[in-house]
Amino acid sequence: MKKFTCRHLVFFCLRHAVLAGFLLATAYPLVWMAMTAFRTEGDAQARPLGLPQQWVMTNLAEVLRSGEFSSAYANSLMLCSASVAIAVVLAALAAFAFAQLRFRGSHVLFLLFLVGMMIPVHVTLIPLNRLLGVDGLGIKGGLVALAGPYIGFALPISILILRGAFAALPPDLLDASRVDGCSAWGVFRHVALPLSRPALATVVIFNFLTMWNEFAFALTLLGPGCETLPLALTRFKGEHDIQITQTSAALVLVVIPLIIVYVFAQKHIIRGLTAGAVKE
Amino acid sequence: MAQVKLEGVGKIYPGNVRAVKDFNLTINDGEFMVMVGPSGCGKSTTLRMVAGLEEISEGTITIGDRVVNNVLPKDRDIAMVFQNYALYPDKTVYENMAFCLKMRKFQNPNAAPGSDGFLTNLFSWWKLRQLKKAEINRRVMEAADILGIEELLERRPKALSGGQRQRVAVGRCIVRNPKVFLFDEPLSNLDAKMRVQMRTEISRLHNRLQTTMIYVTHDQTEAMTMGDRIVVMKDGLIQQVATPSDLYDNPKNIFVAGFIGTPPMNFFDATIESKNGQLIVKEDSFSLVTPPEWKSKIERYTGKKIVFGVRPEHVGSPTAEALDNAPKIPATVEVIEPMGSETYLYMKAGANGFIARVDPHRTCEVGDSIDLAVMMRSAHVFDVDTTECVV
Ligand SMILES: Nc1ncnc2c1ncn2[C@@H]1O[C@H](COP(=O)(O)OP(=O)(O)OP(=O)(O)O)[C@@H](O)[C@H]1O
Ligand SMILES: [Mg+2]
Repeated sequence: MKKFTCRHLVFFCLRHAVLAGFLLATAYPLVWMAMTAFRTEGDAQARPLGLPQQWVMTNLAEVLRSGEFSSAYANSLMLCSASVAIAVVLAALAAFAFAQLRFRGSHVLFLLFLVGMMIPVHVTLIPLNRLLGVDGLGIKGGLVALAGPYIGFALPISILILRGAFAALPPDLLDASRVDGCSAWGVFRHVALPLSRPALATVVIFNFLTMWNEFAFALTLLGPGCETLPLALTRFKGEHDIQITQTSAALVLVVIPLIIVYVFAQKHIIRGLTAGAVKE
Repeated sequence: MAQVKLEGVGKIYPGNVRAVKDFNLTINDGEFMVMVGPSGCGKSTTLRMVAGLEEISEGTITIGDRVVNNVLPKDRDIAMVFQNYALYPDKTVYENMAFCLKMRKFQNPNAAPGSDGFLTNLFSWWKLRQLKKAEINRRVMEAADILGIEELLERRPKALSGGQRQRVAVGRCIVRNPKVFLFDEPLSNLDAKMRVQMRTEISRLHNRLQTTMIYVTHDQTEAMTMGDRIVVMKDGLIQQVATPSDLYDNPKNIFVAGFIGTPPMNFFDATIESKNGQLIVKEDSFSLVTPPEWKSKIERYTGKKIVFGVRPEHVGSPTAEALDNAPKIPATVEVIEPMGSETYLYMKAGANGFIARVDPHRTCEVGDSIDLAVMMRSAHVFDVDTTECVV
């Protein structure tokens, strides 16, 4: 072991001071939000910073009692999980084809997918409105109308990430599975997918986060009586004031699924998953 | 078990790289065929074409009596061991070996034909599953027993040594009971001692299973010790196909002669000359009288350049020295390498360096000038232009 010198001590302190500062900056808004959720409105006005004078559950209860918030919550959960699932399945299949199968036009197709990443969301709002509206498919107003754009916008980046993962698989491993009796589908299902769990987890987290927070499509494509969480949250804002405690309580509820998804998915991000497969 | 037949097989990679050219070879049922050659000569490419991992550009490959050109690897009934083992890192040793069986359809040997009713179907499906599981288990255990890896079955590849991983990779092939085993330099990632051990193990395995095996290596010792027959390749072309001893004693050209054998054969640029009715191999520093039976073969080279080749053990060895009036090469000792059972002398004759394998008890010192007897009947003469062996 190296000798512990004064210099080391200084660096140790500096490094930890920086990290602590970073942690504080990240965590404080969350903590503040959680604390505000359990304050009385008066307390929040008078002393917005310190600990609550009195912990109350009324804000949470109030938020949950409003039917609109609950149904928006259910809508968001349903929409996001279904869209993520479909997007990841489609992206994985496409990415595997791009990474491992040789077919005519694969380069051009892949480039087309990448171009999709450069389309700004707002450019598509009006065309989508027409496409999904009464003159078009006529599904505007319901959750189904959102699923299409959500999945479509999730595909390019997901395919890019997954293609990278599939292309990096040891080629001998895929050959071995072919000899072992796998068709292209078998290679995908039994070898490529299990070994690409880290990339899959990344894609799940990323897409879920994006869809959960999505506002522009939700605002323009959903009809009255059908809301997702980002829309529902705007209701807490009046013309002149914000109900800060209830908003915080709602936000606490909104953040919980994100944390759950993250904890669940990051368990699979174990680095070196392919270690020991082949000798380098 | 099956015969493997390659007829006019060629491989052209994109960019017009011809990795294999006009490859004709019949590997007999149960034969251990070794393909050997320097790096990049197309050994792996040939093997991968047999496996179905590489498209066949020209010719046909037949396994058993089926042309497999357009058959997927999974349907060729072959098993392959890769240089870097290629074990599934997320599966245990047991699962690694069971995987190929799981991927296969399992026929219930005494299944009743015809089916009636959903429940009956469900039941027979379930029963089949149990049978398959039991059969997989039996086969994996048998393979594990053969290879002595029973206590590793629950581990993952990460937790295995190189030798153990290679055993698992072989085990994965054994459980399948395939028509043909393919090995692509399976031992080159192991240390020297492990390599020798696995070498004998694979040979023993072949004796036990009597399955057709094709084994690729660039190590000529492996080729000589393991192969029933050896294919020597260079630049995508077959140079010679022969048994190990035939290859050693009767190399077809300079490449094969130099590639097989350690230390390698000594080569001299020389000319054939006629003197007193005898043909002699003439070099600046020595001239060697050729045996009379060579006459018909080398007469036409009289006065022309040839390459003279002789193996180290045919120069100055006890058998050579014991011969009556064997021709001799006068040379100077440059380096002495005692190996215990024999001694290698690095000699200098004129401008040529060569190696002689002599009696370990022969006393000589660096700088000594000595005459070394040559066993002419074991030496070779090669045509300079074609590099073919003349005698
Ligand atoms: N995918 C490919 N595309 C183009 N050329 C290739 C490809 N694979 C191999 N080659 C070329 O084909 C030739 C034969 O390669 P191959 O891998 O069969 O050699 P090898 O005999 O197995 O050599 P080594 O002992 O190094 O494994 C080489 O010249 C190589 O550069
Ligand atoms: Mg190779």
